[in-house]
Amino acid sequence: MKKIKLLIIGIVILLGFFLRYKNYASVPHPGESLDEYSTTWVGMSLLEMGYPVGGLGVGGYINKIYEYINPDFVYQTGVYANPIVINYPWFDHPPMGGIVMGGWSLINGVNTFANVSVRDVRQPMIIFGVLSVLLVIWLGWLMFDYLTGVIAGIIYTVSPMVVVGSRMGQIENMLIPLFLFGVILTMYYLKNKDLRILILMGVVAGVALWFKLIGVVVLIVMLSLVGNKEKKILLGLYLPFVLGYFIYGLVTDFGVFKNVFMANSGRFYGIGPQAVFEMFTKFKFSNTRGLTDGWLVAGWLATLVVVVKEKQSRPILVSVITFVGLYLIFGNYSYGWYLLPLWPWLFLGLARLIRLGIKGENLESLFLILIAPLGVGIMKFMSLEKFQSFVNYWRLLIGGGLIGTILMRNSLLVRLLIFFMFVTAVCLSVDFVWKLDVQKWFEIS
Amino acid sequence: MKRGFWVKYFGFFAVIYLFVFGGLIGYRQKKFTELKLKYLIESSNENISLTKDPCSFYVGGNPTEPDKKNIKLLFVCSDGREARNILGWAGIENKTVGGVIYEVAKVNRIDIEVLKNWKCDVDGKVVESWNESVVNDSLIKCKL
Repeated sequence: MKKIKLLIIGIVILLGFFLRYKNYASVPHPGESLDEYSTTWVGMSLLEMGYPVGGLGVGGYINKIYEYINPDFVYQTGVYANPIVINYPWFDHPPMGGIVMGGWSLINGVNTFANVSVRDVRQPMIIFGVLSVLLVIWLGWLMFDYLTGVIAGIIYTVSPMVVVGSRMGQIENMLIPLFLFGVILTMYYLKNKDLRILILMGVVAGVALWFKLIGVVVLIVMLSLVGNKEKKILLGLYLPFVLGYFIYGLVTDFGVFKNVFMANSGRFYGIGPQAVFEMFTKFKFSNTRGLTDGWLVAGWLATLVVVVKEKQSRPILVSVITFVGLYLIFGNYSYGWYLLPLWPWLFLGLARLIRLGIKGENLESLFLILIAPLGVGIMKFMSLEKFQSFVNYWRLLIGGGLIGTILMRNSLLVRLLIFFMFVTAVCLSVDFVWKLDVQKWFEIS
Repeated sequence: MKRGFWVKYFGFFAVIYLFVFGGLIGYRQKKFTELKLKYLIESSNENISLTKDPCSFYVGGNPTEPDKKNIKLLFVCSDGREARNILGWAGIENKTVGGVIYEVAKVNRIDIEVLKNWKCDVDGKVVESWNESVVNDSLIKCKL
């Protein structure tokens, strides 16, 4: 039985890898986020010269150079037109994300900024993405049961928004495994009260800070879940990492470090009603391109139901509230990658509701919630005109299904219907992601 | 948690930081030069081979940052094809005809030697030397 369980997890992880790997260097289109290059440049320059040089700084910099750097021929593909502003020493974010991405590029023989390519930059991201699938399964299993973990893993594996987002060279993609692992450790600590785990928790939270300041979410979630005595210990364990970040600034250029730190707090804030709406519905890749994802809508709705219903889901509630709170505080532009660390928690919530549905609970709400990924999946599978030929069946499914779930509740037929909806939505997502090439990508607006 | 643990824990970080950050200062003194910085930033993308055809690519779009100032460089090739390049003014380091041509050649991976015999004019006025300076919003037109 254990072997079968592990085999299923292996299949989900393999699927996650192949979906992320296919067309990884062309979708999203190179240059749609220059952060992918800038973060890599920071790591490359730090490793090559001991000095962080990056692009598109937030402000507070003295050294500014406007330069045409043309990685992946971004100026010829029409996605970018402005000269890139280069700042040094660059302090927008802590250096660890850059070291990973820049280090990988250097290993691959890249020696100048223009030679950086998403083909190299995104390779480690695929590994982090697959690792995150494994950790989502582990966490779901630990918090609830095996089936919840696997269902969460499947959703995280196939969600188009997550698959495409997790290919990108964004620091958030490295933060996700640390966030999930940090909460997994917390769960183990709460069970065993083993001090070694507590120490490891402090280290994981500290390392997360070295990737991005919003990595403080890992510490806050841990602090919210443990007792008062452990809170003090965790803060003590965390302190050297905070000091380490400041020492890094001190030994590089503390004047600029301080200026950038202050400029970060006063940077552009663009989290208005539109951004909040998008947080519930889509992944914004650029000002003109976003990906609507039904799993996201379903995830939010299901999580609301689950956190109210189940005490065990407290880590989900705490993680969602903390991350959204920090997003609203740190937020500047409303690009989807800033929210990447939030999605695993919503999918864990959705997986739990589906698991409860298998047990025969909450079938009405689950039925309604699953309409979102199924409907969006169908819309991506066929055009609106083509869909009109099937509109009677769709209406029958929605109306009949809803009345059926209310009248027949726990019947096998209702459970089969919901199982069919879930499997179909998963298959549609796989089909969409698998066929998503450059041409299809440019059709998305 | 006992006091001894904290002494060891912070002591561990003190040693690591001394090694890492001390090493970083030394490494920077040894490795960082303006020349190296320039090489990293200004080198052209070698993933694409040099072309002898100036009309094979163009820098498109409409640069608006850091200001709306720009400069245009139009290559008219012998077979009638054209490549209209628009570059943000701030991105041109050397604000001469040659500086603009060099920048476009760098971005589009054009073999600059090919362009040496081309004749250019700026806003209709024939250019005698590539060292002539240009002002923003000019149109440089070059043909063989």
